[in-house]
Amino acid sequence: MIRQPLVHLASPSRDAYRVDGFRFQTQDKKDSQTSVAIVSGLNGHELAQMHVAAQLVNFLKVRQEADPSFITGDILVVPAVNSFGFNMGERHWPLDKTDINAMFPGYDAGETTQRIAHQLFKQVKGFEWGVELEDRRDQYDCIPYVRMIKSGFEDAQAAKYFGLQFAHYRDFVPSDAGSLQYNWSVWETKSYGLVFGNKQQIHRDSTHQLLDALIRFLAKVGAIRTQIFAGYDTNIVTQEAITLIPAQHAGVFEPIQIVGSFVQKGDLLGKVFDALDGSLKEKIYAPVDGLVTCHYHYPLIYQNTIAYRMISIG
Amino acid sequence: MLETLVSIELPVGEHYYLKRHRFTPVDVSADNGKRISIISGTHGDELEGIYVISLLAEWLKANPSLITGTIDLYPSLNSLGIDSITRTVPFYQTDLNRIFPGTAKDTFPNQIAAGIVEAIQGSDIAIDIHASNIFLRELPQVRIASTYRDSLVPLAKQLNMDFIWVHDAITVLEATLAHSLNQLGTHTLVVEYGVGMRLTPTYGEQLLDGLFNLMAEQGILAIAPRSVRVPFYSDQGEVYYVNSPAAGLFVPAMDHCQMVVKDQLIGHIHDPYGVESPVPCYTPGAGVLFTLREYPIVYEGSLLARIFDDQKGVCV
Ligand SMILES: [Zn+2]
Repeated sequence: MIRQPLVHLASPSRDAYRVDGFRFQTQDKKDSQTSVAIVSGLNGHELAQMHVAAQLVNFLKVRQEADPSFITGDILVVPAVNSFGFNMGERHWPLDKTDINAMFPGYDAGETTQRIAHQLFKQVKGFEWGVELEDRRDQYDCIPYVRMIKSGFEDAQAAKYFGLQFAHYRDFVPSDAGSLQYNWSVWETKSYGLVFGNKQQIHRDSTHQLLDALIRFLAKVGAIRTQIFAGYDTNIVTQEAITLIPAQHAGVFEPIQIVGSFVQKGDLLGKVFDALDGSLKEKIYAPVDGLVTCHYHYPLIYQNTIAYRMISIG
Repeated sequence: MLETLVSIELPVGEHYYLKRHRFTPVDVSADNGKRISIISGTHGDELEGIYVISLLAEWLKANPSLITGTIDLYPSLNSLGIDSITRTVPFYQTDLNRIFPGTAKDTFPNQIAAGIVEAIQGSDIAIDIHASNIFLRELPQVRIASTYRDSLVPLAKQLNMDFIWVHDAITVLEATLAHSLNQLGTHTLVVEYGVGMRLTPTYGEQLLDGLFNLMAEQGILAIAPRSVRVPFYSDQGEVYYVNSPAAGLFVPAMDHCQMVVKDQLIGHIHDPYGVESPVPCYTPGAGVLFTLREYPIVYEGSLLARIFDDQKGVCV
């Protein structure tokens, strides 16, 4: 393992800004040589994402030390890009509040976060595979899933290598234009977003689940030599399979069904109570049969906000 | 007439209301059928537009017989943000001007965006007033995506602004209010001036004159057109950027919006500990300094100034 400095920037007052990557490369010319970049923590709230990436670094390091032939490709893991944000509970770049993950491919003569994106992208482009670990930007608790953006350079079948329950295969939207995942695909890296975790929290179970998914992926593309349990036979889901279920009223939201539940049409999903007099304002029912993929997870909900997301097959 | 167009229930005993103040002709036969919407407060830390709109409302209340079209005023779209010095939509931390056209059944910011588009669409003209942010001070200017150059530049010239900046169409800007409205056939001009969290009353009064002139030219007010400034126009030169070469404290050595010559000192970047000597920064060419950094703390890359000219150079 080599620890590589990828980005460096002086600060006005605080410590210098640094982004480090961890590189694992086979020395054996007969190996696959496939290359994978895994980038995490582009936003400072993505604690679970950083932790999974760091656990992966540790796993690869221990296994490589025990068996030098374990690594069969070229793997770069970047656990935390917005370390300044992590150190102060800020999602975005702390001075100007811009989103590093909206600045790719970056610009070396531009604004600060464009320069950061430029320095980072120089180091993470050109890989055969790119995986971005990400949280949901909104207030939802979701089943971990793979996100693919239609770009003409995605490999939908390989999304199954992670072995997660489903992969969301969606159209490009304008806000994707500056994201790492999208820009990877523009530069001909097959890229995936792994979306999981609750904002600013780390859960042990999902850490293990996602660590397994990354190891499975690395094994299937031929970057490491290992045995691992098979995961799910991933369902690739497009927009038509998704049902959005809003709360008609605002108040205190109580989810009843947890994510991962299979429910039938008419099942009670959640309740909304008046925040002040405590009366029950609304019961939210499943409009279709299907799998609960996400629910709103903050206790207070605004009117017409999506309370549940479900997917249905067939 | 103050109207409530959208009502969204908030969790604890409050509503978000999208309100507009609508002025129509007293004498219906005087109505030329045109409708203009004047908008501000998409970003909660931008207050310049609120001032102009309040001045305009005062004038319209005092001169109802001069109104010959429909004038809709929307001063505070992101009202929770305006009342709390929050640029984004509070709680969601969403930039409202990056999620248009929005959707009615989705997050709070998306509902607001959808409500705004629904309310304003059908207007002939919309003026979306922005005030930069807390970092940069801007000369009064109109920004136009090149896609809409032909229809919007003639209108922009009526607005008494100093600068018309036609920029390339960028994918991320497809999610702005102006883009959504232009797509729906409302000629929408983005006006930008001043600085975030502050008021620059002289600029506000300059825009007010421009609005009077535009509405006179469009037959929405029965008044004589005002004499307006001839703006400089980005197609006849080049905009270039001066980004900070170092981290530290930026101390400007010149005033905003003045004519500058090449190699003039813009300011210094000071090292707070004084280990490094202050780094001087010079103008790359002659022209008008239409953007100047207001907030002193900078990293490498922070924008210090923008100059409009046809020459190009480098900041050292
Ligand atoms: Zn603005």
